[in-house]
Amino acid sequence: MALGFVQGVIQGAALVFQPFAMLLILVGVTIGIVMGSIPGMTATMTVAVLVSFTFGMQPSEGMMLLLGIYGGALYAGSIPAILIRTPGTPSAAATIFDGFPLSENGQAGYAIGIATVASFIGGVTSIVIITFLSPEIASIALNFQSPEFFALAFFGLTIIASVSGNSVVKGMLSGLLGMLLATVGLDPMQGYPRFAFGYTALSAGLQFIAIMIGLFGIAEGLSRYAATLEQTNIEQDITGITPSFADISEIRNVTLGSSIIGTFIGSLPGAGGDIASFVTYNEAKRWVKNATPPFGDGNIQGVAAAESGNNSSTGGALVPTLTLGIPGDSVTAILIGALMVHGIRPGPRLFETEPQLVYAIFVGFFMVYVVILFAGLLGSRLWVRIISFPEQYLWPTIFVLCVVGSLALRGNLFDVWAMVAAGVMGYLLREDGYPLAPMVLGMILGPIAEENLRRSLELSDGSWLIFATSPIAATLLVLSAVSLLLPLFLNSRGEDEPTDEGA
Amino acid sequence: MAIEIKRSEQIGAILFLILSGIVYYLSGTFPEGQGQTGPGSYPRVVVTLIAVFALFQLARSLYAGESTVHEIRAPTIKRVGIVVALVVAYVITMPYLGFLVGTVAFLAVTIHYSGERNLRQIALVSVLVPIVLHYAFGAFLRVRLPENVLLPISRLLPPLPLVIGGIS
Repeated sequence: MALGFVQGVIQGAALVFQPFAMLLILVGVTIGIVMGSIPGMTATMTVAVLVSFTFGMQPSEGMMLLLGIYGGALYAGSIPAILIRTPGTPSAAATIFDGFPLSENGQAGYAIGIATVASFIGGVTSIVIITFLSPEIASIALNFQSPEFFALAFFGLTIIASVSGNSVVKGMLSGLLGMLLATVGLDPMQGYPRFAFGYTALSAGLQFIAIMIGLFGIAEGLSRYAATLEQTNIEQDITGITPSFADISEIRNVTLGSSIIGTFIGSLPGAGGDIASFVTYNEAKRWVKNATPPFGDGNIQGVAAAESGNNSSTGGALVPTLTLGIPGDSVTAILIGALMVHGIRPGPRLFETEPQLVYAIFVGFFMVYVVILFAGLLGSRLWVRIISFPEQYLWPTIFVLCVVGSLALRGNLFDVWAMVAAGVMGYLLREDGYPLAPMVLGMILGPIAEENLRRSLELSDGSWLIFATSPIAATLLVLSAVSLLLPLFLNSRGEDEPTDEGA
Repeated sequence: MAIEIKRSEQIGAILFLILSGIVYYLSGTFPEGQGQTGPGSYPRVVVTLIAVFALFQLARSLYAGESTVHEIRAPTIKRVGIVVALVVAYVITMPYLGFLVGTVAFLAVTIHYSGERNLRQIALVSVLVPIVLHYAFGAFLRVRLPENVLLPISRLLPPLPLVIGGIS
């Protein structure tokens, strides 16, 4: 039964304010910050590698750990961006523009403090917005039938491909490959084992989480070995971290504006923190006239815009994930996978079947950002040292975690082999410029698209006109065509966009 | 020494077309469903779209006279190849060596290969990580980890502290 807003928040808080759940938030944020501080360790990779730890927990407890990692890693990407001009996660790339010049002026602590406060404001603003909006969107989506859900899944895939920078075609191919991989195993309508070749393990299908672990854990590791492992040393003293009231007053408008834009961008399937931070940074440059110092020369409003933009996208990404079952980005795709391990399928009915869990996710994510604020302001000196963590220990350990994580799914080595194969395939595809995020989202969207496409065609006796007679489905399919063709048209004119390659 | 891969866009497109052809053929062997909605119908839709986009990529590449050359240096191939081989060997031997012994061996070799030369530190990390993971997954999360066929070492380890059992 759906809960009212206040009742929902109270019941969600009852699940979150438990000692074990709070401990998991704390542990999750710590792990997230540690991993996000290391250049190249994305939030997606960290969540993928560690998701298996949640299999033995209650769904709400598992979500607390994963949301902690998600928020922590996304925030911490700013630390190496500011200190060594290398974003810890792709989402922090825009933070470099003003964060690194501040660091060069000996104000790294100051920049980290601003980034921390902006991340907090961005995160909590987006969570407040989505807590109000999500139940409304879910109640509208409850009226969706098979044609609308098919159109929605297709729209999700095209928009994912359209944010794949200048490789829209490669993004589509990657997404479709993910949809194809999802067809392995029993078909959802008649239970016929497809592409199983007589193997029982293949009949049960490829485990989405195992493929995710391979694509983001093994493939990333192989890329790091291809580029040779390096160690970074930080010499700068980190002081003056906590911003003054004057600083907060200066960044207030930019941060709030960026938080709202970031939430909206994050709510678009496939558009993650990297796109949000670039857009909000550019918008901030338009908003602030005669900035002193200019943007790009160490203006704290630039740091605040980028960080509030990318952190607010996390809340936004939860909107399609929870209300429609369509992942907002790669990390939320894994969250869907983790919930499915517990037999929970996100979508509009989630607000009726698991209202306490939904509100626990909102309240828990809010608490994640509260922990980030304190951890960032109080622990920055410690997090800075993590950038120097020796990679020769890190990657072998991550490979072990990938293997154990896949083994933990069903306890068989088939999933481990599938994970290794996905890792090698992901490495090769990425080397040739195919983005991996669309493949992951294709794997989630594939079964939704198939089930609803086939159900729609059965209802219409095979007539594809059923998609034209539903105004919502028709609109979504037209939007799909626009989102697919527009970037192709723009690319043909030589205009590039930032690439979404995981949070 | 470096290996040059020319026209990778075209090679990629052709591989996708071959994959589409194979899957399309295999989908045709599935039983018919009602109307257009048999088990093979959806994979056929997906591979048809793959073929369309692959053809688009191929045509664009041919039209533009693709000049993309991927230069892969031999040391890179060697490094990636060795790491893949180590992971594969780790997975192959795990059912026989067991999780604990297999992981200690994998970590020791891979950390050393990654450039660490301090043997004491290698030994410390290689032993500690599998033990921590054994408790986290084997005892706490109740995942059945492979055991050594000759000597079940995990039974020699002390049980998980009661406090963690209490929390779980």
